[in-house]
Amino acid sequence: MAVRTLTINEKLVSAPEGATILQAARENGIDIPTLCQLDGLSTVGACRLCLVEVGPSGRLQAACVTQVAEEMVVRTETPKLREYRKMIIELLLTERNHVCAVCVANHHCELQDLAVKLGVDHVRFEYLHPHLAVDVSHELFGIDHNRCVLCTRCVRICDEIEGVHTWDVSGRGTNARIISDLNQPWGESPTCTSCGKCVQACPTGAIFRQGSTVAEMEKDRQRLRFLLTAREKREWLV
Amino acid sequence: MEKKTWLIIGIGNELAGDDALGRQVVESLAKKALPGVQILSLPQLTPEMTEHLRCYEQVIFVDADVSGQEVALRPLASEGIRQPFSHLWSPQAILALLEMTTGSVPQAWLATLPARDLGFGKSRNEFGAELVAEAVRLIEVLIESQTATPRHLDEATRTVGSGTSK
Amino acid sequence: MSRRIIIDPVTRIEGHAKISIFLDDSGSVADAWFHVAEYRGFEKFCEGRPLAEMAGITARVCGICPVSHLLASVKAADRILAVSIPPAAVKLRRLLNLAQIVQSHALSFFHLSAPDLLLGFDSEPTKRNIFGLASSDPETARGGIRLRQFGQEIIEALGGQKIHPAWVAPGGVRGPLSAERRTYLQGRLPEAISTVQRALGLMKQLLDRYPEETQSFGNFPTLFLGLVGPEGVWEHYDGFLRITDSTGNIVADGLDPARYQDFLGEAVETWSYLKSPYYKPLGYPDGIYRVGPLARLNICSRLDTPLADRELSEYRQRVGGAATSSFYYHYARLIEILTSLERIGRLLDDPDVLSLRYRARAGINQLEGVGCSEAPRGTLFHHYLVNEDGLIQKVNLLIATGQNNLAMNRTVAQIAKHWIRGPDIPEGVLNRIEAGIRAFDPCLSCSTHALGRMPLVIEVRDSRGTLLGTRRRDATS
Repeated sequence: MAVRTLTINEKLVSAPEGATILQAARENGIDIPTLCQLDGLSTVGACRLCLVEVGPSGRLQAACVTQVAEEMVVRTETPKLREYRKMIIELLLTERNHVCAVCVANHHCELQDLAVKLGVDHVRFEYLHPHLAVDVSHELFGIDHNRCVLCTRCVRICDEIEGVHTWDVSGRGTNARIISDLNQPWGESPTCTSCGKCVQACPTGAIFRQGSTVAEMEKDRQRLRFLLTAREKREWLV
Repeated sequence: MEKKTWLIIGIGNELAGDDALGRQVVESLAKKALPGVQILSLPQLTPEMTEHLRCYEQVIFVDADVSGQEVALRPLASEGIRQPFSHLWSPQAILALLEMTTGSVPQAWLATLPARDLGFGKSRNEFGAELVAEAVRLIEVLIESQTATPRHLDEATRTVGSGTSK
Repeated sequence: MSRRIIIDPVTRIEGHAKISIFLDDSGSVADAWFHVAEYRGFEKFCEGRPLAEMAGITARVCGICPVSHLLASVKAADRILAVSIPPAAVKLRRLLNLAQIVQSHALSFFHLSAPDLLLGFDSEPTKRNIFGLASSDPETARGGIRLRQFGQEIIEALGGQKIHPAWVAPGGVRGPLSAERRTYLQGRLPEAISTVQRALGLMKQLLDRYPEETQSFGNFPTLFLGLVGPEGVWEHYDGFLRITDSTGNIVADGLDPARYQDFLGEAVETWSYLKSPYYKPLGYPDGIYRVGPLARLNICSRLDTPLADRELSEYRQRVGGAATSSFYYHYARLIEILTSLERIGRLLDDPDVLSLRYRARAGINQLEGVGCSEAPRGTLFHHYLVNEDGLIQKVNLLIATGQNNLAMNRTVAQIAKHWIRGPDIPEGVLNRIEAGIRAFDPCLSCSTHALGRMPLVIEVRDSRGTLLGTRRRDATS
């Protein structure tokens, strides 16, 4: 396999041809924040948190979907990038109704963790306060659109790993919503196998186990890695 | 009851700008894991705190101070405190309450860090790290001076003065 | 000329409020209103939330007694799940509520009210606080601090944190007590009991010192309401409602809390966001009733713990059967701390509190549920309606302080009539009016679901409502 050599944050690194900047960075212990990306799923570049500066002009590229190239120069930590990432989290927080203190995923939430890590101590934009529904028609699980960041992890894990494609996205912009099947209540979905993969994949408290109380919804995002290793390598590592 | 040696309490709201500086100091001290030193990081003091204080021989409060110009460490006395009912308890008030209820107080000091901005959000003080480092240094010198040989004591008392319980 | 006097803010109560006193043309007190002027809207914004989240949300009504809201909320949810929760969960919830009663009552008595009672209502205002108390009676002050801490430690041992423990869940609780914490708490118990016994000794001396206050601090006939257990035993978590009158006769008994709307009405006055509940058969405002420590001791047959029962019989001798003066709230509060501590001891000795069978799981099996428990300040109701998926459609919260609203108004009027003579109002009289309210230990953030600080001012107005003068006391001055 051909190897590409590039520079990330002044450090010379090499990566196999076809690898993404994100993969190359992680291989070399360089942390780039991500939200929609989940190992084992296809990448969509939806959240834009992994933006990096590429080349002398500092062109903004999403690290999760940009392939490495020979002599590429990448910067992952610049004042501009830090500001943009912070702003992305702030915009996510304003777009829906995230109330950490009474959320089922409090202390177990990737959005919350990112906000803390990126220094989001207040929000500079106006909240939209949309009126959004909670769907708890499913026997085991519920989805609260107030807490959804439209990362589409649930859509991808359902389609690519479970193979049933119950979830999809309807609408555009601020009207975009995660829907089950033909926009019917989750409990009436003819395709859902109740496998619960979307619950574990969801980065926030948007998809949760029924009956969860405040801060009780711990998620095990390693389950996907386990599942893929089991399938691909026939190894059941627990 | 056998008393433990040092208690260092950082006080402040972590989301009120420089108000968090005192807590950054104790969190920095906690990482050093100094022997015989117990660390507490609190949003505010409450009357129940007196029951923790009485288990220690020496206590240092670390707080941000809007009227301060530089990092300071001074002995703290409990006298002359008459505080009405409030949700805000000063270190002096806690000491006064402890003295009134138990008749004795630990040796106490107050370390203050100058606060400029107490606005909403984390501290954005460009000198924050320096201030915290300076406070940590003063506290370490004080602890050493109280436990070390006279040679060190000379240096320490010049820097921070000696503590008194009254 | 008629005058209106407003006291704003009332200090040393949880939350803040305002009092208007109306003078008639001769300068005598005609009437008094206890205003609660803010609004929070919990009942509205809970709509649409999943049932299981309600405990965590409604606990945020109050930082003083979140535990009370947790319990009433999960009890309403238990009804909707239609489950009978495991015995260990009942015991652990009871332990939590008793700890809450201890810490809240300790705060009310030792931190907030003891300065008035032990130092005197006319003592120097700058010393009439916990420091004044600590310098004149260090043992009581320190005992009070440690007693409150003990209650908080139990809550922390169970819920993982002192203030908003998210530990109670529909169907039970989220974990047992650890054996280590149990042993520690058992060791703390004897000291806590001796603290409250000492305070009871002081309280009895005070009753002789304040005959006038005892007569004028909300001393009037009303009904009393609260939960009782089998045989009318004092109860704080379960049981049925009992209503007695001012002579101790049982007016209604065995009332199912779930049917509270059949016998309790909620009147609304334009001058306060605090609703005024009343006993329906007597109408409004004749259906005035009181809840809380005074009511609970009036309605119960006994406390069912040996030390507290001895105190109860002495209490009943001193107050003459049923207590009608709100001044006795303090005395009743101390006896409740004692019985709570004895009951905590019993529960800590019970092996069930370490049991691992502590939570029942179920789906939505009923569309309506009422949860009722005794908060430190009185009977608390949470009433939820859900849709078939368990999303909240309607919420009604009936709060202890709200149920005392009519009695608090009448108390203010009584104190004002007794102590105010002419236009000049001495500080000591202002303080008595505040203390009259403080006797109820009102929690205004709960009862109005109110937010922020409410100042309390004294305003003087003539009969046409024109402001003649204002006397204001800052909450922190």
